[in-house]
Amino acid sequence: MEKQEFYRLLKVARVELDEREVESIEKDINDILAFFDKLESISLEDEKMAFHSVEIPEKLRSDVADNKDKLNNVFYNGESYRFYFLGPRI
Amino acid sequence: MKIGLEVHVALPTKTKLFCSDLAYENQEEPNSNVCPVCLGLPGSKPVLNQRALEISTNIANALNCKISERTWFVRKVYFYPDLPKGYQITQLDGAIGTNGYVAVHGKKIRIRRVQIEEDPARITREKDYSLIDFNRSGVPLNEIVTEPDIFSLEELKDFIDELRSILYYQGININQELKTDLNISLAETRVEIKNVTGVRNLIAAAEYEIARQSELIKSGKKIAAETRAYKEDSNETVSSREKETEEEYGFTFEPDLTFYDTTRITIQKPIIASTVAADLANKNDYGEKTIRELILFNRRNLSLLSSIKKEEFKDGVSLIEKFASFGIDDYSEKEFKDMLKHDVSSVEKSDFMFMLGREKKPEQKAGKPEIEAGIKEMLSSDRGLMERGLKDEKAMSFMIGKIKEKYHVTGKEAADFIRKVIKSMSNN
Amino acid sequence: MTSKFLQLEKAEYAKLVEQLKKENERLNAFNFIDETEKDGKIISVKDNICVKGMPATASSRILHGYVPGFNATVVDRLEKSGFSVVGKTNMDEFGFGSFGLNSEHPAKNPFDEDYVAGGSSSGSAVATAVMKNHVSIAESTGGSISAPAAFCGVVGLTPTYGVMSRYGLIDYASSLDKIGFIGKSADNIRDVMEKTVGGDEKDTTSLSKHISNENPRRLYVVDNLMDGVDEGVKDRFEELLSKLSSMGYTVEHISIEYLEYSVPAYYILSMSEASTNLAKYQGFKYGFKVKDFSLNYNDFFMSARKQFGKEAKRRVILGTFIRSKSIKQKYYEKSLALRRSIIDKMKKILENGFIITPTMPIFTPKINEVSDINPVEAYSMDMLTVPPNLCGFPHMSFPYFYEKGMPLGAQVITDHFNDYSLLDFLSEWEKDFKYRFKKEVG
Repeated sequence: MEKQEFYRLLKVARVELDEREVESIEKDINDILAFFDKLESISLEDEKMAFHSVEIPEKLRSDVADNKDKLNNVFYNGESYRFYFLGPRI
Repeated sequence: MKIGLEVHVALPTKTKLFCSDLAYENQEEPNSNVCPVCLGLPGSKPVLNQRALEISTNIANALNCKISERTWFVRKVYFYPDLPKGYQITQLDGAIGTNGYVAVHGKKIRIRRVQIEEDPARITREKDYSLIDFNRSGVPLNEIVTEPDIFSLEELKDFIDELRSILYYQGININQELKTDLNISLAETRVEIKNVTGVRNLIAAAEYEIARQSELIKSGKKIAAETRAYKEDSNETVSSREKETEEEYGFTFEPDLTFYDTTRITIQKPIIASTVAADLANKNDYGEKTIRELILFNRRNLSLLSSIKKEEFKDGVSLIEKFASFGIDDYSEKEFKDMLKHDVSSVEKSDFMFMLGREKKPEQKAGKPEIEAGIKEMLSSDRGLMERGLKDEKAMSFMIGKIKEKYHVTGKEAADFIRKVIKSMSNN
Repeated sequence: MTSKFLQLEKAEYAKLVEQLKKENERLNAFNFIDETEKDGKIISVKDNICVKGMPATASSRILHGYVPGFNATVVDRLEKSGFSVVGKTNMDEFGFGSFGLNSEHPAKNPFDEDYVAGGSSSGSAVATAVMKNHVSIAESTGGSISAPAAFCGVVGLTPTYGVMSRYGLIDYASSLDKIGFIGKSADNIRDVMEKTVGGDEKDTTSLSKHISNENPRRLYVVDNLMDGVDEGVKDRFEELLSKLSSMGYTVEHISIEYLEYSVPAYYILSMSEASTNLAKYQGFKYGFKVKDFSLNYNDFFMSARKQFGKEAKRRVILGTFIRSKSIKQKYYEKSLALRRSIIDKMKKILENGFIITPTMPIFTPKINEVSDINPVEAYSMDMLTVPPNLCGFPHMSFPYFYEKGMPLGAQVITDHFNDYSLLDFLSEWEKDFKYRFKKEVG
């Protein structure tokens, strides 16, 4: 992976690394990708994709309001102001 | 010129797309209709609302789409404080509908895709922070993506009208503000304008952008391929930094959900009001424009005008207009048919109401006890109104006027009497 | 069936807490021990499963301070059956690890503290080893139940994907995550499983399927999976096979095409999903909080996500890369196809008998032997546990030997929804096997 591509990925993933981490993680990632490239040696042209390992039949919810997991205090874990969650500046 | 749109509409379900909180934004306080699922708390899981799937299937059908027999969802990853999970559950390849079209005055505007997705939370920008209300988070939406088949502002207006009418007949609340992304290219380069709210702004944004691009072309300048935002205050579009690209969204199958079978969903024959209008105009030798105006966003008008004979048609249209001019909205088909037997072309409102059987004869003035009981009933159910009347003479006069009209009484004596009754109530 | 749990009266609870706190100073089995007086059958829960009112961190600094206001379905079902949660067990951050070392305070092996506990359900295995008649609710994505169970000399059962509701499980990779059990008696595990399996209206992927216990008394050894296994481990495993054949099992050697590609396919899929599941950690609604709301939201998120450990950062970056539109086909979609292919190939075998393997390709390592190995080496340690995990097949690691005082585990794999056959197998094994533990409290 090119250095530029690596830095682009950090931005996309919203991950910030210090210099030492950049060095070791960039190397790890290239090693791991080389390991993943083993898959190139096999061909699976007509194989279907297994999104799950077992068949998951459809499960639908009827359009009825019933709040089974109503939280006692919505803001318990966050910062709030007049019933709004406080978030970062946009 | 080529214009393509991505139009977002909220579906008329009772509850959210993936959890059982109420879906409509009500007058309640912020964050009152939330649970672990729509707050995106770790550990929560989505379960699809059956009604949302049914409505979406019908919308896709009304837009002449091919319905996916097996529909499925993807995760679209991007970062913004209103998106609780850091990804939006939406659709792409397995979208509910693909390859449809909307016919606008004989031209087909192709629909690339109709997809089901969840609405993010409502976010308000403040100077040093933001405020987030998750009541809207998880409200079911359809995103309708067109091909760039719209070639003029006129076509844009007509398309939006047609689309809104089709959606109205699918039960969509037509008073909601459409949220639209539009891309416009006058030359080769495509410019995208994101998050335009409301039809008026959509037209204004397109108008501005067309002018801007024409100017650039005229002066031989290059048009940048970019994302812009429409500023309502200054009525212009401005360059905005693109948040994520297609490459970066990294769409993957949503593994917390599965595949959904649409073949068992009942599909209603869609009502295309503009087609009905053309048919009625043709059949009854009547102006299509008037009929369109009456039925594009009015289910009852469509049903009434479709149910009457050619001889009655002209009177039927007049009668509908008459009802509207008197501000009467709650009439039944039977009342309409009864009134159609009368000539009401020069009838005053009071007489019209009398013919409808809704009011006593005008000369039958109400007696004091009746008026007093009526006032008490009205005001006890709305104490706010009463208090405003006591504080503000204008509001009081207004109330008195209304009561006089209702009970067909006139004169200063009557007004004084009504004022006395209202004031006496405030002492209780 | 005779299940027997550590059952306490309220008055006895404080003493247990006292004992556990003491053990915990040495072994770091728990991230949280609940001191609120309670009674009932004592159970522990991995720290990535939500218990209402108890902190849930998944051993991540980014979740420090998060206290869920709702129970995982598995916890709800257990509490209704008279179980009480004593605490939340240590783990690799978000489940990312095979040795338990990706935690601020890594759990240590109860047989010898210089050795790893295994991971990612490290604390669940240690807690089970040190408490009488204990069962811990654990979770496996790619081997996180089998690995620590093997290294700590306890039993780890990973059920078929979907038979246990994931509602309340803090996601690592949603198509691979399976809640399961670590215990030290077939009867106890069966009891807990029977009370917690089955479909859940709050989890779309949960299933209400009949779970069978077919046992054709045939064991398959997959030769192409044994290539990287330590010679000493192989020798012990051969001895195990002889013992099992003397118990009436037919042993057959086979080879299953592509099985050696399971590990890259697994890591590709799990990292892709993990990079989406970890997008929710942004530093303001719960858990770790960035103080300065006036930071632009991108800088704010970046600042919060510094709290991720190194392995989490690696997986988020790689997962993001693998999902990119232009290369998705090369890695992600190919791995999905490979999963389909391997499921079909393994299923054909599993219809006729169990697959048996050593659980881990090495003897229990010392902490300092594996703390610096590179990621590819570390991932390769999962070569035996990944195939059933990738494919959702139920599997169980059980102890069968003690090498210089340290336990050694083997793993049996069976077909989808035949989970109870594994516990029947274990009951039979327990007739002639004595578990060893250094010290048990309660």
